[in-house]
Amino acid sequence: MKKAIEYLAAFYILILVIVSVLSGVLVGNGVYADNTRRLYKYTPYQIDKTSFLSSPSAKHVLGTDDVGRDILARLIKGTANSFFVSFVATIVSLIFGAFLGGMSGYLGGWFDFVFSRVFELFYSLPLMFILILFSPIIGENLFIFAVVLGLLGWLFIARLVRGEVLKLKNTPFLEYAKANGATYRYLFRKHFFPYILPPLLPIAIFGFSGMLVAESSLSFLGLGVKPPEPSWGQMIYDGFSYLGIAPWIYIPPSVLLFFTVLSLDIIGEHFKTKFSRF
Amino acid sequence: MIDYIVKRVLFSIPTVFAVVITVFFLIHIAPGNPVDILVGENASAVLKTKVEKEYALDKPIIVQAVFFLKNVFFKGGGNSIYFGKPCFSVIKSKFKNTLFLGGVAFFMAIFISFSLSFIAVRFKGRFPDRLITFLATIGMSVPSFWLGILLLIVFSVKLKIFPVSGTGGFYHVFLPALTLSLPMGSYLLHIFRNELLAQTNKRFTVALKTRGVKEFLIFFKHIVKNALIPVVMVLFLQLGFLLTGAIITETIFSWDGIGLLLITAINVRDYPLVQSLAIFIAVVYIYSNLLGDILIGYLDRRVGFEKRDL
Repeated sequence: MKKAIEYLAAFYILILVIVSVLSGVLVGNGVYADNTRRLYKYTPYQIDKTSFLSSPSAKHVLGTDDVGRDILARLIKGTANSFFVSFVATIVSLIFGAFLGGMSGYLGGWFDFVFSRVFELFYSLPLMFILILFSPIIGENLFIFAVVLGLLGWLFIARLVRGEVLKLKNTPFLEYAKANGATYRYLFRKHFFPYILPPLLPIAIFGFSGMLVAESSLSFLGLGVKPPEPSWGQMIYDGFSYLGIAPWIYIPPSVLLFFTVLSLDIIGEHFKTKFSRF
Repeated sequence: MIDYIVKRVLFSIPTVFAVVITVFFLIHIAPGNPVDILVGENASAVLKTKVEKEYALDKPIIVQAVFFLKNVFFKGGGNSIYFGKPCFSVIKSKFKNTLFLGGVAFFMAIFISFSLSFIAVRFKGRFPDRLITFLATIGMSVPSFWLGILLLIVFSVKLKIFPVSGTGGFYHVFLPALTLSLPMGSYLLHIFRNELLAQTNKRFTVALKTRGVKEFLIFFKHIVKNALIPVVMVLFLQLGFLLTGAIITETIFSWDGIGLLLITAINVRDYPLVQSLAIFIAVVYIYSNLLGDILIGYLDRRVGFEKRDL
């Protein structure tokens, strides 16, 4: 039963990843793309002047929003955008956090002291504030938004890696390897990576789901993905204004978001129990 | 112990100072002219020169920094452009609403997690336990704006039990507090349940049982007390989140607190207010963490105060 749920979760995430990778083929890329020959005939930005806020029908499978854009097309593009931002943000925070945390744990001394103070500082600065200040640079560029989000999410990973490195530093087998003249390359390949990477995998998965929620929340507040580019949070915000009269705008992205986060949690939990050393 | 507390409080002062300086430099690093950032590009020339004078933006950067510090520490953060009052007095008037919401959510989370984890541990491995763990997993993964809108639809729009939005007494606070407390409560429940089970399997529990101590006495007097330590740690780490992370909840339910103020300040480009809010939130974070650390030290006597990390 548990295994079945885990496979189902993995399958669901896989489908979403495939859809978001193929989103360019499915609904087109640019704002002015012509979709008449594509798999799906509406683009996420195209306005259908004959139907505003129309409920799901044969013409628009999931209905249209308040300016007459097709919900299904926006949902596909929004999935791609949300996944792209979260993925890049997770990778950036992993690299940054693992590097700084590892350095601080291994070198110790003044570097560790400075790092701890910087950590404390960043920990207490509200994320929103930094994003607001940098919103002029971020603009409509999703990649920069993702990188900024990732640079703000490295704290947790850095702390974890630092703890792991500190534990590893004092183990007898590392002392032994060093005493026998092991090179840094050997140490990294045989000791650091095998010791630190497995616990990082569940953290990366949880981090991805956290980034997904952060992206949606920021887009919901109007600080993340800027219109007309769709994302889940953006679509939920659009739907929030028409809650009573047009639930089909709000329901699909929120259901997708909910099940995605749930599935990621289930998968992450699986790896966490598999790789835990305790 | 007094030593430790004094040391921690002293060490927090440079952190607060660093936060203020960082906010100052972030405004300078951010693209564009600081005047444009502070009042917006389309502000009138009169307002621009007024702000330039107020923040000494026509002077060298060191003088500006001194002016900024003076503004923050002695003049209540400067005047808010939108409200026309010192920023910190605006924040203070809104903060009590956030505090009320956060406090109610805090106790709701404690109530939910404690009562449900007692039930889960009592029926360990059976249906109620599995149901509660499953619900807690869902509760943890629910984004707060998703949950807030759902509660709004069900309880306010369809059932018409609670008001849709607004600030007020317990009748108004219930839905936003529930939105805030469910994710936190589920997280606490997970930790508390696992910790309770781990304590149940420890040898001192078995030893007490063989001596014939009553089951519920063992549970409430020994197991719960030990299991509380990590829970309190998490609770206080989340306290800052409760007070400030309410931004989305407050926006959904139009709760007149800090979060809504931040969003209003952003929307009207009232940057003096935004920067004062950033400083204020950071200070709340720093001191709630400090409070948590001290409380844990008090609860967990196994580690001496002298050996603790600063």
